[in-house]
Amino acid sequence: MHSTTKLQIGNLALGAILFLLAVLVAVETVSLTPPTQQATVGPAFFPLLVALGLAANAAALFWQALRGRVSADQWLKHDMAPMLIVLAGLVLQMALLTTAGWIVATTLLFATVARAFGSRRIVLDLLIGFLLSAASFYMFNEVLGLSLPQGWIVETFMND
Amino acid sequence: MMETLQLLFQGFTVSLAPINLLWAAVGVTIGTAIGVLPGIGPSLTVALLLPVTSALEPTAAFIMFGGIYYGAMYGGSTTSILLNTPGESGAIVTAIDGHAMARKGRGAQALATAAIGSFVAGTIATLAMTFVAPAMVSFALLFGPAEYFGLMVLAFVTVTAVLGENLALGMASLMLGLTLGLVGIDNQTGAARLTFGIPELLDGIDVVIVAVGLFAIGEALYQASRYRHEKEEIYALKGSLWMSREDWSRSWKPWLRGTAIGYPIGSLPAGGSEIPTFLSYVVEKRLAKKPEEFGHGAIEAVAGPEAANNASAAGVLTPLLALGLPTSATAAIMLAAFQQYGLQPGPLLFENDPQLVWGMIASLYIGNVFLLLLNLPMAGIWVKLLLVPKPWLYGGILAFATLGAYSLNNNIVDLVLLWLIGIGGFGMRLLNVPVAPCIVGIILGPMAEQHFRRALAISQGDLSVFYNPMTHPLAVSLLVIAAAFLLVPVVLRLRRA
Repeated sequence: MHSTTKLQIGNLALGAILFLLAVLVAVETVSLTPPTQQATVGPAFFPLLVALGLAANAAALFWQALRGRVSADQWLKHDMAPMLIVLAGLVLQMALLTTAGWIVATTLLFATVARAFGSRRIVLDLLIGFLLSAASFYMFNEVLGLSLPQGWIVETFMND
Repeated sequence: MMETLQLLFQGFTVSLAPINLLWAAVGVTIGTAIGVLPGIGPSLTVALLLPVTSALEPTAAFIMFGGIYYGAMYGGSTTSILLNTPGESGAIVTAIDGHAMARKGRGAQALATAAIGSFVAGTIATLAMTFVAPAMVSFALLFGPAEYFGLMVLAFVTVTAVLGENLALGMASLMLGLTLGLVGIDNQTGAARLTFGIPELLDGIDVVIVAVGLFAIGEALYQASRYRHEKEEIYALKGSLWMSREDWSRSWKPWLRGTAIGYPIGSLPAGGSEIPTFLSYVVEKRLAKKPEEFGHGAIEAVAGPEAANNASAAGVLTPLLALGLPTSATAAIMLAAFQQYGLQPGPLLFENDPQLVWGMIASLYIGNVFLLLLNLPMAGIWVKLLLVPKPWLYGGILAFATLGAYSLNNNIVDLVLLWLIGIGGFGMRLLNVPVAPCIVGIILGPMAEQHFRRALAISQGDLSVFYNPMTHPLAVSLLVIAAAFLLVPVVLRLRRA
């Protein structure tokens, strides 16, 4: 596909998203309580302004895309596969976070992201990921008092 | 005047306390490091560090954030010069001649004029801020809700119209931010807006999630899709590391002119660092003895814009502290940091918390000295950071991004929101939609609504507070200026077409 076409489709998609959001905001807030004596402007007024703005903006984007007012040199080449691997790493981390704990989950996230960026040294990536997540775990939990999940490994073997 | 000096002196006693000196040093070191690392800017770093606000007392935190902001401005020039990849928009101009100098083997001189220029500009501009901020505060005391609303609309429009070439795309970013800002309980009536029955959304979407999602996740996804297509070449530092007599004589005037351009523009509600750096470049080119060298490694073209960039950073902090008005993405996130402490920058903060405000301002002077020491003799060491391989750089960024998002409320919903916003940020990067308006929208949107409703409550529903120049001259003129920023370029373009 020609890059101008891609950019046009992108602009149309963005316009469509804004338009849907406008409808959503309007439908969700129009039913809110009307203004009372104390407050002259109710909780629905500002959202409706935003909905109007969203709709107007969507119209501008449609107009711009259909008139071909997008310049093709703004579109750069990109690959979807590495980007999806990064996303997969994030999902994996979330899935493991509360069970396996921060250190394991984030070590795997680190290694997955490194893989997505073309690294082939899996063992080294895992090692560095481990050092980084262990250090951040210690730093934030012990020194700054946050509570990152330690997971069952630490719970089973370290806390007796 | 005397009073200001007295307050500044008190500020120095706060910031010279050993523990605060330590935070300033930590701030400038982190700031420089992240400024040097490609792909990470000051806004992302401050966003990633927002969780520490739960553990630090406010003065220490803001001394550190101030140091990070200034440090990132120094460090940003390094990637521009040696890699030709500006880390943030204020360093774009520096890359033109700075990189040309590096190709000629004069990278060390380019770094030196940038560092010393940043020191000169940062110090003079901080001095200017010391006196302008209290004046702005006394002006702001005249402001009522209608005026604050006008000021915020002006900030929306200028952030949108100034950043990025395409107005519709910039507005789209702003509108998305305003929409995200609506989510949660309306604090005047208690009505739940756009929460879709999800209890975690009742408190609203945290700015940290949006900022980290757009800057860190969105950027990492984008870079992952691009790394195969980008080739970077680092130019090693070689030869004499010091500036020659000629370099000095060609640099000092651009430093001062850059400061004079950067500070006032940065401190306007329309501020930012793009306009001052471009303006400084144009001015230096016009005044140069050898304008033909511009674009091929003219030292003036590094000295001037770098000074303008640092001066505008101090400029941006002025309305942030005095009015609570952020004019850049970093300032918007610093405002979010103030909100984490329940503090609202503005006249009241100067009144109630002089220790914090003046301690932070005084620490900026100290931070500048630290930065000069960190950057001049150690430039060669910082350059080594450029060698961190991308796989590890982005692995680390994502580890800290998820850490920041998760530790806000210790729940998984925030992580899912983080990816969704990150995917949105990726889409915005593909289409060249600027991110800053979205951040400013989500932070200022709820505040603008509050002022809007308060203004109408005071006037008992009379809308004329926004258009009658006799009763509210300030509010009306702010709104008129905002409308002009928005409409004049459109009209000009239609006329040309």
